[in-house]
Amino acid sequence: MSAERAEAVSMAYAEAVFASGGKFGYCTNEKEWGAFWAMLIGPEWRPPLRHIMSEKYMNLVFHKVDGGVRAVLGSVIGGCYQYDGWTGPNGEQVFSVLFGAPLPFYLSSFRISGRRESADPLVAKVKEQLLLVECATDGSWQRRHDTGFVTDWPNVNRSARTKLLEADAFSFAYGCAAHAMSNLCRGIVKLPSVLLAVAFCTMLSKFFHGHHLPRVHFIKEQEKETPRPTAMKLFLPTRWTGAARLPTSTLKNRGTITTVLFKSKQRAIDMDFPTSLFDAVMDNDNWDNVAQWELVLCTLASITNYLQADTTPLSGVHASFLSLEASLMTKTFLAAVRDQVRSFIKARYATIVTLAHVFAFFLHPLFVQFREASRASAVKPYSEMDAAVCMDAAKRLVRATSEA
Amino acid sequence: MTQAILGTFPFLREPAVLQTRQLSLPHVWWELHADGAPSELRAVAAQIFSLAPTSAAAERSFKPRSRVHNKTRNRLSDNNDDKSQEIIFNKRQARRFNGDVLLQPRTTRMEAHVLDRLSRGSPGVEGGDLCVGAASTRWRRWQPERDGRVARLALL
Repeated sequence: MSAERAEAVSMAYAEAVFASGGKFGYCTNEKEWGAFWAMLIGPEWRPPLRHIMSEKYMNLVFHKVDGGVRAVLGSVIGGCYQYDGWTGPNGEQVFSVLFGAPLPFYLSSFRISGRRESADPLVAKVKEQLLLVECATDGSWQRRHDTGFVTDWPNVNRSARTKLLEADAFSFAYGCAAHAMSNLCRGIVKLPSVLLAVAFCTMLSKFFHGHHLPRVHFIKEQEKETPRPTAMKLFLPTRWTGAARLPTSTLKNRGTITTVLFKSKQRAIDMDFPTSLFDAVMDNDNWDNVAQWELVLCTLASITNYLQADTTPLSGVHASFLSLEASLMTKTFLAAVRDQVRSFIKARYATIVTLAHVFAFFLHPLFVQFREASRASAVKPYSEMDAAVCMDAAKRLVRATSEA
Repeated sequence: MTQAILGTFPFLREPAVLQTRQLSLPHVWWELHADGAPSELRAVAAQIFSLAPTSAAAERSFKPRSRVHNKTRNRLSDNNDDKSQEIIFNKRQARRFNGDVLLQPRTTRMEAHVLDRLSRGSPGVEGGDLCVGAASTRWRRWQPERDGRVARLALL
């Protein structure tokens, strides 16, 4: 094997190892892997040693990937920064910065020293990132492009957003819509009637999934049903769509649960279930309550899923909050509950809405039919007319472009 | 601008929009179909649709980092950590392109769900082509690859 060929193979190997998150010295010291590579490529090539991987090939692969990304970023029309914090395995605070238009690419990460971070060092670090992109595109980016800035909810991020907006670093700085929808879901779950529904489903799920004997009878009954219902799932507050899984899976298993309890009552199965459980399951009000809120939680989950996608346009945020309002109108909620949920939606939307969200909605061809819904909406958290809001957003963009 | 908001431009009237809105991403739509729109309005549309609504991608970028920099491999230098994260995340993002074409369906199931809800709350407005099949939509996981349609994208 020629030296060029061996180098090309090593480079491809390094790219594969790094792209899959493998260790730098992966399979270099193991005889079995050595035999595998020898059969595959020939005995003359062995994977690079660990220190060569971590120095030479790490840099080569990084520059290759980085070059491609910088070329794309230099040619985008606008752009949006996203950043978020993470606690590493050693307790270190790491912030990642992504930039894209709108599909984001990873730019870099930085650490914040000290146990409690504040907005000022964050703002300084973000401005360093701005310079990074500017340098990468020969200084032309800042003159040509207007940017947005989006983060999640901690106070320090909100404060950094405000400071950056005041410093005129961005035209728009706003909160993450997917986080907002998730927080809205958590707020709604705390309503008394939703709590009742969640408690009912959790009780059933824990009883039939967490105890051996009920679980055996439950699974036997499940196997008789066609199609077989899904497994019952518990409420997962850390998963954005976790709130919807609990009522959905419980409703799908209603028939199985009822059959198991009736069989127990008729002594067809050898187990005594608590009378309170039987009463709760036979009470239709409980199931009606679950079915009512399951629709709302499913709508919230589907909207959160939609909003967390990379390719969702900014216009999707206003449309999502309007659709959430519309989904409440068609349900058989009590007026008081509906008003309460609507006030939740309005308050949560107020934490993220900017002129850009409304303007994007009005410019998006997909939502042309639904402009009237925006004008009539009760959840939009601004008092001005939509046209005035759009006009302000356009003025801000045009001013930023002309200044650049 | 007022014309755009009121929808009095011919290209913004509903039948014209309904025919073309599925074809491309919004800022590409403004490039391809907004005949007669002032250049300033097109520029503003391109900028506004370059903004992302969410910082979820930043959350997602930590997943590969936590796989590389974990409790049993916690002496990794910041430099290598940073580079690993960029290689993994950006390679994954780059796979979503074929040249300058973003492989993404124009209308996703979740988008259809949002439109379906909106049309139910707007008397007299039919969801039309996009809401077919979504009327009975309950929660389904978003699976863009099912549609498999390809959206032409100018740059990004």
